[in-house]
Amino acid sequence: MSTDKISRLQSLLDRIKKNVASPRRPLGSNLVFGGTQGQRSDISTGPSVPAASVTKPKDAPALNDVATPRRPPLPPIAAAEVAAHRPETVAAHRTPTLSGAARVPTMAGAPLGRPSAPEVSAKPPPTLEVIEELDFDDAEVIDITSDRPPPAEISSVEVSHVVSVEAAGTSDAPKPAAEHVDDLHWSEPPTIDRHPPDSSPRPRAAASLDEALAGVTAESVEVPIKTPPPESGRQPLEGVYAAPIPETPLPRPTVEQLGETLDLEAPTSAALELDLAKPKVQKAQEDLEFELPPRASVLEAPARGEFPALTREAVEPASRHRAPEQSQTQILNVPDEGDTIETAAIVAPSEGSAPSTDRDNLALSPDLTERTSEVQAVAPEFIHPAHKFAPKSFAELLDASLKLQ
Amino acid sequence: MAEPHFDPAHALKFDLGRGQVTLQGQGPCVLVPKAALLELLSAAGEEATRNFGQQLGVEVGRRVSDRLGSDIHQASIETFVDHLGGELALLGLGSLAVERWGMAMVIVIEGPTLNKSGIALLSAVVSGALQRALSRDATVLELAQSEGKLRLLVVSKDTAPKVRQWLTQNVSWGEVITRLHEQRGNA
Repeated sequence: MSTDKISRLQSLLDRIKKNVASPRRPLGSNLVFGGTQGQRSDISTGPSVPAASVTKPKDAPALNDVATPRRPPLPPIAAAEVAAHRPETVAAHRTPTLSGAARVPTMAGAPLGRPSAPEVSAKPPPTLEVIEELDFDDAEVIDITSDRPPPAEISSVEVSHVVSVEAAGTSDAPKPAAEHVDDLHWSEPPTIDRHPPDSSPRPRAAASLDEALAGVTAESVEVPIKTPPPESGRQPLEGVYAAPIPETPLPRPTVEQLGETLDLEAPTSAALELDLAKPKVQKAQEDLEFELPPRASVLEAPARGEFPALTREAVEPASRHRAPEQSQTQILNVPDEGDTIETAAIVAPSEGSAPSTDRDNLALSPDLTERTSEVQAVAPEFIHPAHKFAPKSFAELLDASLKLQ
Repeated sequence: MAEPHFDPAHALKFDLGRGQVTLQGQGPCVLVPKAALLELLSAAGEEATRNFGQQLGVEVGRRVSDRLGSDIHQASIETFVDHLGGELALLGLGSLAVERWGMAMVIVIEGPTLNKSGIALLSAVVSGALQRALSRDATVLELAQSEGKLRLLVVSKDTAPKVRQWLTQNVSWGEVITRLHEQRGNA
């Protein structure tokens, strides 16, 4: 919203406040705007319902029959206004309000060159018409927020007021009265050099491709003067944006943080040995640890005598049920070169486990100790409970007794 | 189905005019002192006594069969004993009871102590009655007699000699019954 609008609205608001603070004077005792007629005064309030639309039930008694004081017919508005209030009085004491100003054009819809009031009262318009004329039309709505001056019709309204005053008095309207009425008039704000809104020119669609290409180079150079700069884009050279950005050097890691950097050698094509499994350490079987005699290579098969006696069962000649070559303990994991003797784990084969070695040349087999099969042939003894014989008849008992031998 | 109880009413009739005694409407009967009968049986021999007793037993079995009818094979032990004991009681042969030792059936007859002929007579009567009533060919052997009770073991004819042998070997009647069951278990 521009400052002009704000100033105009401020002035309008001041006038409204001033009008509200001043005492309001009734327009007229017989003035009817429509709706229900008041009891004490002739000024009606309520909705502006056309009087013609009021209906009465058929069975209801006629209003005339009701013992109510019959009021005299309401005089036409224009006539009442003219008769009760002198135009001078109205002009002097009337403190028109904004709403009154809005009502005026409908009340005095006559043109500027309106004849005197008696002529108007000679042919008063019906009340219904007055009420209908109070309704606003779209054209009569005043946009107070508009920059444009009020339409000419509003001005004519003010003029019509003046004319009505003139009708009451002389044809030459006094100028002070017109000036007083001017409170309702849209006063032209002081002349201000209006500048076009600050905005960048809207790009016009190019008529042809050549024009568009030519415009690109020209528009690319143009920089909108007061258009708010975008968040990203070209940095303006004015205002706060013109402040130089302090160039603080970024902290760099110190030598201590970096440490000593060593250059690694280029990778070679050496093959990785992945066939050797890492030994498994079994701390629970520490007594099984032993020292392996050093050999030239771990891949070399150890001699037979090098196999340790891991268990007592293996020490025993035993392996009573096995051949000597089958009673040796299986070495599942062979210590690697980098491994120490202590970390070399040797797992005693479990009974019934399949012979598996990491080296094919280690032809080892698990030491299986079989259970002595000195099972005596003991015939099962079945103890049958005594069959409870309960004969149901004498003949059955006799037959059973005859079967005894 | 309710089994009929033994009813001795009007079972024994004395025709004093004719001097006849009828048993269950059957022929004239003679009341003989027991001791005289036993001497007679003793004099007649074992075979004659057995035959005499068989005839008495068949008549007893017939009367029991007539009383129980076609349901005699399904008759309970109590019912059969009731009727059989009633008939023996009418004859004056004592009070009958049945003991079941395992699968062995032992018939107990309480009465005066009987001699060998008397025991043979009762055994023959019981055997004849079972044969007539239930169509079973059974052998009734004396197990023991003590305190007025005569225990008779009912076995088959094949088993009877073995039992007699055990009894002659002074094997107690309980042991005899046990051996009979052991023999069956081992078989």
